[in-house]
Amino acid sequence: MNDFQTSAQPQPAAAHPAYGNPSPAQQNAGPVQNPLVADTADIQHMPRVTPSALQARGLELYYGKGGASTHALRGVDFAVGQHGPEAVAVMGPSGSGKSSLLHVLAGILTPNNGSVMWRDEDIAMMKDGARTRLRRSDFGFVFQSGQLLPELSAAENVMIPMLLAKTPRAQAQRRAQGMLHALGLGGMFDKRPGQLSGGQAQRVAIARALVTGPGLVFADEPTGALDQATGASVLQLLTHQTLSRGASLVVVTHDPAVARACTRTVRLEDGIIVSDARHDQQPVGAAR
Amino acid sequence: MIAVKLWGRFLRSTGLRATDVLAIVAFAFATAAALLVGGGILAFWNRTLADPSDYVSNNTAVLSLVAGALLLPAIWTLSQSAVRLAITRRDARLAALRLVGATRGQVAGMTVLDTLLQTVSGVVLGIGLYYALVPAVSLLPFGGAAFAGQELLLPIGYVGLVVAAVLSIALVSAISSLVAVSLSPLGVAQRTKGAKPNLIRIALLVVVAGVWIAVTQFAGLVPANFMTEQGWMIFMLVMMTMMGVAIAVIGPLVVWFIAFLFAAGARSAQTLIAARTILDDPRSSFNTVGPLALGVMAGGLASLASMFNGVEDGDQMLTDLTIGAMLTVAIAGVLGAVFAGVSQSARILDRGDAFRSQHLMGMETGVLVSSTMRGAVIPVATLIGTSVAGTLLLMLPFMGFLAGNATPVLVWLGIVVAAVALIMLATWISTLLLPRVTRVA
Repeated sequence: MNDFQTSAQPQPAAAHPAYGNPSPAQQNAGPVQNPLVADTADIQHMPRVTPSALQARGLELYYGKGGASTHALRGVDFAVGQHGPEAVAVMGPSGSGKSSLLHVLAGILTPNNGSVMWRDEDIAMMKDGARTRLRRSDFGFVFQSGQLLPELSAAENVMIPMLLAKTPRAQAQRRAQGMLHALGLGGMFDKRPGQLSGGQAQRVAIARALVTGPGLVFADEPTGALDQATGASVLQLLTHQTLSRGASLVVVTHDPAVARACTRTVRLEDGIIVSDARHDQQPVGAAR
Repeated sequence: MIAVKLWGRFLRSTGLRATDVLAIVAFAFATAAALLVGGGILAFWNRTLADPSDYVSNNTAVLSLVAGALLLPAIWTLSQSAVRLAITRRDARLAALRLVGATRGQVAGMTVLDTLLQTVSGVVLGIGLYYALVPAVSLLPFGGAAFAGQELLLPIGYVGLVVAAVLSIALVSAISSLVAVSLSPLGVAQRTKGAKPNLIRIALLVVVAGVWIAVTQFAGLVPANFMTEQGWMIFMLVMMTMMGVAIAVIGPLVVWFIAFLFAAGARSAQTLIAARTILDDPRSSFNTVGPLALGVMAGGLASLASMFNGVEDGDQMLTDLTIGAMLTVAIAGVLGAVFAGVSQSARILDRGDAFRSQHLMGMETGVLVSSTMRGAVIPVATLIGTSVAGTLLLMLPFMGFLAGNATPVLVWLGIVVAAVALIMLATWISTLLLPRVTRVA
């Protein structure tokens, strides 16, 4: 067992007005907001979020009703971030319940049974509107594709979650540009998703996921549409940027290379966790 | 032949989809509008032919052509949007077919067959809608008397001509849209052309402006008694057509510029997304409101004509002019609303994956609804608002005359408000698709 610890200790910070009002869960959890700095120079030394643990117990999920229903999750217990920031790969064959688990943990789907505790609140008991706001304020998401609005520029796509949180535009723009710069997209602010390569688009998605300082990032096959070299580079960036900010990462993947880059691998089969192992090697993000 | 067999097999397996229904609705309204306008024009000309010396019916017949010319772009646009809907929603299937070896011609043939089926279905519904609407339209009094029902009914040969015209528009549009689409095994990509200022567009505008100036100068040199009344009417028709061309050329640019200002100053995600969506395809936004804006201006000026009532024998013609203009604004409003509903629904279905991702990442469906509504409000408020304000400005010197009989102007304003409300209602109805496209599992 190798409990992963990042090299620097968490830096609690007061809630920053740029992120809007903290969610109820954040208010209950104390000083969890950790604002990103406003300009490019400081973006490399961003304060990190206080680690938060997500704990799910007895998750049951059915699709459909009656005899035609599918049992997607069968009493799953799962925890992430209990011993500090970590990167967890969720693997398993198609139809094993990987994406269902991610959707339930992130509050996208409500389980039929079980609880998902995050910052002292049960996400499974929240109403739809509260879960949507929680996803925006506390979590980040990276999907295989389609998370960028094609009409908006790279910087505007990254600005969207901040504008939704009522951040003033100028401030949102500075932060978005700073984040893109930190991810190596300094000259791409005005490019639209259609003008970016697959790897560049995924880096914009990572910037969008991290710009609000989430406590937990969910990624669903983030490198699935990329070639091997680009995928490795994107994954390195995703794990490093997430863990170095004190957040944890849950990655659903088919790719063993992705799993190897994480600190822990959970395997699902037929809606049941069949193995949960920590890796001996240090994760990509811990080297810094 | 293979294309026909494949098309038949796909049709049986997939059945009718939401986009097919939208395209059929668009074709139905375009057909009904074309038939109503055609019926109206024929009725006016029949009255003229029955009594060639009748000053009022002669001029009303020419004005009916003007109204038809004003509505033609709306009908054309609606037909084109229906065709594009038929093509762009088949991306995955078309690409898969190309991947397994279907030729570009076979895939294109299937698309044309799809379009034809939708057009024919829409045309049949449109003919039904036309016959259902004729009794209501015939209640409007023109030439001092309401139309007899059969006056507005086109002979079957003319109906055939209109149907052939709509089918031709659909076919030409389908083929031109296919040219604008890259059908490769790796996917279907739309070769979109923005409406940003370019040399050709600006050159076209300069030519139109030059011709306009030359024609107006020439008109000034012609002695007033040299031109007949009908000659002046035709001259006015040419001028209005040129104005229409000029508006069609600069309209999308104006919409683009306004959206650019909104995008630059947007403080909320809703406004930013709405403005960027308009910037992405300003022509589509213009098509929703452009014909209506033109109709609004023409209708407003025509309502002004009522102040001359009581002057010699022009009373009846002016009354007819006012009613005709209001009818034109109303039809343009209905076509604009159908276009808004169809184009926004198509956009929501096309952007389904991106919208679902946004929702998963924490964007409330209400934000997407709000951005869609703002995307409709921005061009409507600016173009229709400018059109109304400009017309009211032109009316300003005559306000004293209108004080005694403001009813036509108030009716005009009422119809404009109703048309705008209809466009907003159609847009809102399209947003009912959002919860469906953002739903997970």
